[in-house]
Amino acid sequence: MSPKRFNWLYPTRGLTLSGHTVLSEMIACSLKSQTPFGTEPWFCEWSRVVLFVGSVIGLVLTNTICFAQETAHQEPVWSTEQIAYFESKVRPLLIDHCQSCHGSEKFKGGLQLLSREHLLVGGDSGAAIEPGNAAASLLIQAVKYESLQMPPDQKLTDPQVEILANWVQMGAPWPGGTGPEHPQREQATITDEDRQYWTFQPVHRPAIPKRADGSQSAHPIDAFIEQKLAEKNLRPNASATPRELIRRATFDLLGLPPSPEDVATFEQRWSAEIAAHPERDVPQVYLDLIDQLLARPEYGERWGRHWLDVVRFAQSNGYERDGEKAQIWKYRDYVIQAFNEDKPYNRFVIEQLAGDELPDATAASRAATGFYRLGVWDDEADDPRQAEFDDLDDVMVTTGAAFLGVTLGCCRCHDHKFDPLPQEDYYRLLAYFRNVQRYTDPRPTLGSSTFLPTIDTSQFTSVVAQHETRRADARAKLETATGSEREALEAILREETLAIAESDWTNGVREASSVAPVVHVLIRGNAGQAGAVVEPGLPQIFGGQTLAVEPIDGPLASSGRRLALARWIADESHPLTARVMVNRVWYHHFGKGLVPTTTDFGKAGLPPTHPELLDWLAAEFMQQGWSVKSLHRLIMTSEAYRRSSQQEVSLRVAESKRPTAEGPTEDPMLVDPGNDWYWRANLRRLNAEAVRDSMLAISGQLNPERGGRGFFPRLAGEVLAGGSRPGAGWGVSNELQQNRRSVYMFVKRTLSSPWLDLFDYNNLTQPIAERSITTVAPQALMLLNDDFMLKQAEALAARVRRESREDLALQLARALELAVQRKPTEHEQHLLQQFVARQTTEARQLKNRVTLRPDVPLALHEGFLRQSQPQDCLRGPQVGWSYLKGRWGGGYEGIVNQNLDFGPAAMWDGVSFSDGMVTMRLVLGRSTEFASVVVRGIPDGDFLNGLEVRLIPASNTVEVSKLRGERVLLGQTSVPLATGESIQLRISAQREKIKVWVNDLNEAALEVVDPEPATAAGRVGFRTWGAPLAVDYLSVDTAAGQIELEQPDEADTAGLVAACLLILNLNEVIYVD
Amino acid sequence: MSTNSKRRHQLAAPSPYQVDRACCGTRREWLWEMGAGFTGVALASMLSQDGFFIRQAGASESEPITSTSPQNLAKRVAKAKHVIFLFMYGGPSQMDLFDYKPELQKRDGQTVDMEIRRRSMQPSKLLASRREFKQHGESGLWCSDALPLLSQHMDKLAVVKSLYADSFAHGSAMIQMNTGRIIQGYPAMGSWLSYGLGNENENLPGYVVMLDQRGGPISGAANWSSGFMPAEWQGTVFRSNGQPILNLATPPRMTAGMQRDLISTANELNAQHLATRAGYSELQARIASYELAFQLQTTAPEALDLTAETAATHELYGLNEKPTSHPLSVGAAPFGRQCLIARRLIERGVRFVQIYHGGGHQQQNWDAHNGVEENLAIHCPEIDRPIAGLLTDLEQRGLLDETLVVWGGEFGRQPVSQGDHGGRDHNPKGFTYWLAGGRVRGGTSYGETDELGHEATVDRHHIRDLHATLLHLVGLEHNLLTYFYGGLEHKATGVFDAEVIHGICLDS
Repeated sequence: MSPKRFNWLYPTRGLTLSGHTVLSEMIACSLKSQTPFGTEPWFCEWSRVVLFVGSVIGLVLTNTICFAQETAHQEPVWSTEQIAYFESKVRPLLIDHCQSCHGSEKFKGGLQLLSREHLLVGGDSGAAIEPGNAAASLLIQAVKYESLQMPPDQKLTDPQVEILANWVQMGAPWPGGTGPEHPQREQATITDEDRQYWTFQPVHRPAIPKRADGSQSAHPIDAFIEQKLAEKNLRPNASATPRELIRRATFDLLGLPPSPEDVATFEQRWSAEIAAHPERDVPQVYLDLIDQLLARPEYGERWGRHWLDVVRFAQSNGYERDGEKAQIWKYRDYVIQAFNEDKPYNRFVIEQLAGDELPDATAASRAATGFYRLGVWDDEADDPRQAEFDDLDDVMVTTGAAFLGVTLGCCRCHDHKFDPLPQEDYYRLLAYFRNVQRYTDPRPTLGSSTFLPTIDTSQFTSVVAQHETRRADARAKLETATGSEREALEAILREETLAIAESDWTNGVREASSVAPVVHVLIRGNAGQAGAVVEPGLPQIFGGQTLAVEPIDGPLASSGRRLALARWIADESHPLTARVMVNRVWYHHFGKGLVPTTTDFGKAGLPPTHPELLDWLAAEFMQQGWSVKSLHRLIMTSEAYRRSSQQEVSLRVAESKRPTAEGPTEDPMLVDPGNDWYWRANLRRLNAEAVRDSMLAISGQLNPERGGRGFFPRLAGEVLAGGSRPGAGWGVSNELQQNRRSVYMFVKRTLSSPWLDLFDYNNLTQPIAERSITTVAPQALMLLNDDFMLKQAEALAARVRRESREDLALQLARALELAVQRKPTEHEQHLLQQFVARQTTEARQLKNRVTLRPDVPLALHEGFLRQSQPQDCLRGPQVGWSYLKGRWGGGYEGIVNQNLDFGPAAMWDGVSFSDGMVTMRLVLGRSTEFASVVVRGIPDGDFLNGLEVRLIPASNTVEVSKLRGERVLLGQTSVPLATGESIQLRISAQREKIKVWVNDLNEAALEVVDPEPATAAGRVGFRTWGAPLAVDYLSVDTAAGQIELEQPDEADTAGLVAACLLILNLNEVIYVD
Repeated sequence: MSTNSKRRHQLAAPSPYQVDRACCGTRREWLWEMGAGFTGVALASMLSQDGFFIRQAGASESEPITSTSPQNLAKRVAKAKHVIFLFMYGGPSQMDLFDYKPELQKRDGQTVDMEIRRRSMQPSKLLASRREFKQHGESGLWCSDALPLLSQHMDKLAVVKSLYADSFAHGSAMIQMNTGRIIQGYPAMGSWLSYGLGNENENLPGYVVMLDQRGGPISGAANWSSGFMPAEWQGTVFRSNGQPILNLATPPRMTAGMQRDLISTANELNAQHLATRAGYSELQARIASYELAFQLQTTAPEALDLTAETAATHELYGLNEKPTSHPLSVGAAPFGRQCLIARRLIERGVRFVQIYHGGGHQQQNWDAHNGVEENLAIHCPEIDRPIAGLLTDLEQRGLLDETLVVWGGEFGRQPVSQGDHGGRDHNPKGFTYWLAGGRVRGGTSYGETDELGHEATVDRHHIRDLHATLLHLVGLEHNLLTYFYGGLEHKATGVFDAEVIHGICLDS
C-alpha cells in the first residue's frame, strides 16, 4: 500500500472512555452468565444475547457522546469493561472465524487481523474498520455479506455479527498496542531493470551486419538472418522451386490457390529470365508477381481477416439473446479496404481508436470505431456496474494485445505480476476510454450510444439542427393544437430518429459529452469498491505523462481523450506499435513471429529470436510510411522467405547457393528442428478460411462478391440443435451467396460454422492472434462427407468435363492441376484412372438409388423454419421429386416441434395412382429410428397423408397406418430388419386391401384392411428419421403398366466425382511448401 | 516446423519458465502430431510426469495394482476416470427437491424482503414447497416425493446444499457453471478435464455433450467451448437420436466400400507427397486422421446402438415409459436414452459426458417462473427413472467407483413466489448440487442454506470450489492444472483461491 493511501485511511479520530458504572455492571453481569471458557468458541443462547446486546447498545450510545480526539500517535485508553468485552466476545470470534485466513500464517487479500492497527491499515480493499462507525466499516459489511462475503464458507450468526458491530461502534477497543509486527504492504515500483527491458526501449535502426569476410547480403533481412545462422553453423536451404514460390506467395497474400495457368506462365518466365539474367538475385518475374498479388482485392480479404482475429470480430453479442450487432459488418469491410488501399498503419490505428474524433473524420474512419463494439455484451448483466468495467476491460485488453503487445488485463485487479504495470496505471490508461458510452441494443438515434453517422459532421449538424427546429416548432404549436393535429405534434416530439438513411449510420463509438467521468482505481478490480481517483495518463513505464486533449463539442461531442491516446500509440517514438505490427506480418509469412508471442511482448511472452532484425524492420516500416504492402515486399523478397521447406538433408538441394567460408557443418534438423533460425521455410497448413475458399476456387464456384452484411452458410440440423432457440437469428442464403469467401460468413457468437471451427477458427471472444493448428478425425469426416464438399466435387467434375471433353485422362489431369497446380505423374494418373474405373463399376450397382437424408432438429425457431425450403428438411434428388416440410407444432416461445408422424417428406413425382403395387429395395442405416413408405400420398399443406408402411429396425417391426391428419395404426408384424443391408419391400394397395411383403416376395408379411379406402390417386412418398434412407429400384405397377424410377444417369460421372472428391482431400491441397 | 514454438507455448504448463522448453516441447509436439484422433493425443502419461496430478502419498507410481496386493489397493486412492454431468438447465428448485426447509413450510404466504436480482430487494410472499419430504436410506438424507425413484439412492449421494454463484441471469450463469467465469471465452470444465486427463479412446471425443431435443441451453455452443484452448478440447455434440456426429454418413451413392477405396487411394497419393517431405509428421498425422475417420463411422454409431442392450436395461432407464399428459413433457425415454448412452460412452473411454436436461425456454426446462409445481410435474418424471437407472446400472457394473455423477443446474430458485401460478425466480445465492460415485462420500448432506433456503450460510462454497472438487475427484489438482494464454497461467478455477470440498470426498 502506498504511503499516501495509508495516511488517507488512517483514522484521526478515536475515543477514550470514562467509566460508566451502571452499564459496566450490566456487562459484567452478562459476562458472568457466559461460558467460563474465556477464549473458547462462543455459542450462546438467544436470551443471553438479547440481554447482552441490549446492554452494549446502551454502552455504545454513551460512548458516542464521550468521544475524544485520538491522534495517530496516541495510544487509545480502554476501560476494563471494553477490554473484557473484546476479550470475551470479539477476540474468540476473530480467532475462530477470521484468523485462519487473516492471521500470521495467511493474509488473504493482504489483510491480517492480529491487532487493531492491522484492522485500521486493512488489506487490498482498504481499512477494515472505521472505529465508531460500524456501518461504514468494511469488516462489518463483509460479515453481513453486503460487500465482501466473509467468512466465505459460513456466514456468522446474527448475534455474532452484532458483537462485531458493537465492538467497532464503541471504537474497536483492543488492548496491547500495535500487533506483533507492523503491517507492511509492498508498493509496486518500477526499477531501472524494468526500464531497460528491451520492450520499452525506443526503436533504433541497427546497422546491417556484414559477413565475416566483409561482404554483405543482398537483402538486409538476410544479413540479420545469416548472422545467426553463421553463429549456429547452420547452412540454410536453397531457394524453393518457382511453383512452390508462386503457391506460397499466392496463399500467403490471397488465401487462395493460383490458377494452373498462372503457375505455368510464372515458371516459363522464370526459366527464361534465369537464362537471360543469371546474375539477378531475385528474378523480376517474382517481384512482378508480388506486386500483382498485392493489387488484388482478395489480398485485403486475407489480411483483413488476420486483423479480425486480433480484435475478436463477431457480428453478435453473445449470451442469451446473442443479438446481431447491426451494421458492424462495416467495420469488417473497413478493415479489408484499409489493407487493400495500403492505408498507413499509423492511420489505421488512429482511425480504429478515434476515427470519430479526427478533424478529418470520414465515413470510413467512423466505421473503424466499430473496434469498440466488437466485444461480447451481456444485455442482462448480473451486476451492471461491474459489467460496465468488464466492457471497458475488453477494450483495454484488446488494445493492449492488438496495438501494444502488452497484457493489460492482468493489472485490472492488481499490479502486473511480470511487467512493470502497476494497477494504478491500468486505470490511468482506462481513463482515456472512460467516456465511451456503453453498448446498448442500437437504434440509429441522435442520442444513440452506439450508432454513429457516417455522413460528414457539417451535414450531420444541419440534420440535427433541422430536427431540433422541427421539434421546437411542434412544441410551440402544441400549446394551441387539438385533436389529430395534437397527436401528430406529439408524435414529432416523441421522435428520436434523425432523417438519415440507415445506411448512413455505422455501429461505432459515441461519447455522451465532452466531459469524461472521474476514474477511480477499483480495488481488486471491483466496480463497487472505488479507490483513489486517477487522472488520465500513460503508464509510468511509458513516461507516465498526461496527454494534452482537445474536447469536441456539438452533436457528436467527445472528450478528445481517445484521439490523444491513439496519436501517442501511432507515434513513431512509440517503442511497441511498429514492432508489434511488423512482428505480426512476419508471423503470418513464416508461421512464427520473431517474437513468438505476437500479442505479448512482456516478460511472460517469449523474447525475440532476432531482436536486431525486429528493430530494423520496425524502423524501416515507419520509414516506408507505415506501408504494410511495402513490408510484404521487403519480407517476401528475402531469401529467408524464399527458401525451400525441405527438412531431410538427403532431400535438400545439395548445394546452397552461398556456402559460408568454412562450409556448413551442422545438420540443421539436429541443431534446430523447430527452425528457430530460419534455415528453411515452414511447410504450413492453410487456415480455416483458406481451406474452404480453396475448395470453392478449385471447383470454380467461388463467388467474388465483396462486402455487406455477409451470408449464412447452411448449417446441418445437428448444429442448429445446439442453440437454445434452434435457428433463431440465423438466416438462409442462396447457393450463390454461400459460395462467397469465408471472411463474409456471418459471425454469430453462439452458432458458428463447424467448417471453420474444426479447422481452428478463432474463438470470437478474446484476442487470439495465433491460431492453433490441429489435425483431428472430424476434419476428415467433414472433407469426405459434408454436403459442401460434395457440391465442390461435383462442380469440379463438371468443370473438368467441360474443359477437357470426353478424355478421362485429361479430365483427371485437369482436376489435379486445378487443385495443386501441377500435372499428375504417370503413377498418379494410373492410380486415379484405376480408381475411377472401380468407382464407376460400384456406382453402376447403385444406378437406381435415391438417398434421402433428414436434416432438421426436432425443435426449430418458427422464423427460421419459415425461411427454410422443404428440401432443406429432407434432402434428396432435386429433379423429379417434391418435398414437404412436415407438420410442426406445440409452439412455445417461438420454438416449434416436429411431429414425427408427419415429419418432412419426399414424394416421387413419377406416378400417381390409387390401386397398384410398389416395389423397391431399402437400405436402413444403423441409426435409423424408422423409415416410412407412403402410398396414395396426398399433401395436406406441409405434411403428407396416405397409407404409411413404417419399418422400425430397433424392434424389427413393420407397421401399416392410415395418415389422415392423425395416424391410425391398421396393423403390425414382426420381421427381421437388418440395417446396412438391402431390404426388399413390396406394397400392394387394392381398394381396402393392403398387403406388405418384406424380403420374401412369395408370402405377404402383413395384410390389413383400410376401412375407408381413399379412391383419389396419390404419389409414393418417403420419410426417414435417424439416418439416411437409400431406395433402390423403385417401381410401380398399375393397371396402366409398370413405371420404373429413372434417375438421371450419374453412374458414368460418379467415378469422376469421386476422383474429384479424392483430389480435394489430398494433403497437397491444404499444405503449402 | 511451423507449429513447434506455438504449441510449446500454448501448452506450456507448467510455466515455460520452470521447464526446459526445448525438451518438453519436442516430446509434446511428437505426441500431438502422432495422435490425429478425436482430440489429437492422450496427454495423461505425459502430464503426470510434469506434475499435473495429485501425488498419492504412500503409493509408488510405478507399482502396478493387482488383485493380489490388497494392501496396495488400500493405500492407493482410487480416482474417478469419467464424469457424467447431468445439467438441469434452467435452474432446478432446491427447496422442492433436496433442501427441506421446515421454516419455509411454516411461513408459507408471509411477506419478506428478498433479493431477487443483484442488490434489488423486493417484498415477496414466501412459497412453501407443495411437496412431501421424507428422509431416506441409512443416511436419512431428505428428498421430496418429486423424485420417488432417485430418493431410493440417497445413500449414494453427497448433497451439497450451500453453493453460490455470481449471476442471476441464465446467460452468464450457464457460462459460469461451465467455465467458472461469467464472461465468455474461457474453457469449459469438460475441456479442462479432457485436456488434463487426455483421451482413452482415439475414436471418440474426450468431451461429449448431449442436448435436450427441445433445444440447447442458452448461449449454445459457448457452453462447451474450449475458449482459448485449441478446438480439439471443445465438447463434441452427440445426438442421441440418429447420426451421433456431424458428417458421419457417407455421401449419397457412396457405399462404405467406395469410401474405403477413396481413402486408400488418397493415402497412396499422400504417401508420395510425404516421401519428398520427410520429417513433417503433421502430414503423417493427417493420413492417420483419415483412417480414424473411417473407423469412426462404425464406432460412433456402435456406441449409440442401444439394441445391444437388454430389455431389462431399457426398462431400467425408463426407455419404455410413456410421456405424461402435459403437452411440454417428452417423457423419460429421451433422457433415459442419453443416460444409457453416457454409460456406453464412458465404458468406451470418454472422459466427460454432459447431458443437458431441459431445452428451449422456461417451462421447457427447469426455469420455473410460471409455476414450480407444473415445472416439477413436467421434468421430474423425465429424469427420475433415468437417473435412478443410471446409478443402479453403474453400481451393478462396478463402474460407479470410477465414474463421478454430478447433478445440478446453473443456479437454484427463490423461496418466494413469482407470478400468478406459483413460480419461483432465479437464485444464485444458495443452491444444491449432488454428486455420486467416484470417491464421493455417499449419504452426505453438506452445507446449509438459511432457514428459508434462500442463501447459503453454513459451509458455503462458490462454484469454483465445486469445480476444484470435480478436478480433485478425477485426480487433478486445480492449482497445478494450468494453461498458458494471454500472459497468464490460467487455472480452471480462475484467479481466486478455490477450495476442494473435502467434506464430500472419501479420501479426505
